[in-house]
Amino acid sequence: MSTLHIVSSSPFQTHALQSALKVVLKGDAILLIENGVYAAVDGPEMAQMLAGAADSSRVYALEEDLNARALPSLAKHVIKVGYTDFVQLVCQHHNSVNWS
Amino acid sequence: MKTLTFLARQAPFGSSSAKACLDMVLASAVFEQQVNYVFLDDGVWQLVRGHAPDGIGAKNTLAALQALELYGVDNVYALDESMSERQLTQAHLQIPVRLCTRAELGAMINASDVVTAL
Repeated sequence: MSTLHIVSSSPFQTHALQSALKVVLKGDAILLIENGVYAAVDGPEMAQMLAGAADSSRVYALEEDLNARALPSLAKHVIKVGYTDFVQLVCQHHNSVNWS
Repeated sequence: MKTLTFLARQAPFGSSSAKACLDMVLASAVFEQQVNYVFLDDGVWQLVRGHAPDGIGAKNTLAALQALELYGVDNVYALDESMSERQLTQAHLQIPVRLCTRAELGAMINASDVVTAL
């Protein structure tokens, strides 16, 4: 039993990502979409925030949203996925939670 | 002539704020007002070069940033701390901007006739 945590708002603007990270369990996955992909930017603050989560769960970011926003550089632990992977991730996990 | 200051604070996609702000800036410039266009918080993401929004079904409306010069909007600023928080430098940006500090922005707002933030 695992959960997919979908984060869709910017970590610079809301606490959605922080809220999600509080309840993430080992084996869960985090998927960054829409303005949530800004959490994938390579920088000390975000790296620190996601470092703990990346140890026990996978962190994905939707490629289409990354491309649209032209992020300068991506954090190493972030895995790029497309729309079909998004569907697969939803199917693979027992539950999905939307953090907006 | 009045001094109008526009504060762009939202990310480029996900809402129409970025486009609305740019439209207001260009309209104000047409009416020959003194315009300050300031990007801060997630608004600095609007300036990043290489947006490719086809995959998310959005339009690259911010390509029109290039038109600012044409419209005589010379006072384009980005808040330095918003840039550094996001690991952005001038090299990542589509158009040249002047970096300003929080104190300078405060003074600019104070000296404006109208301030619009969105």
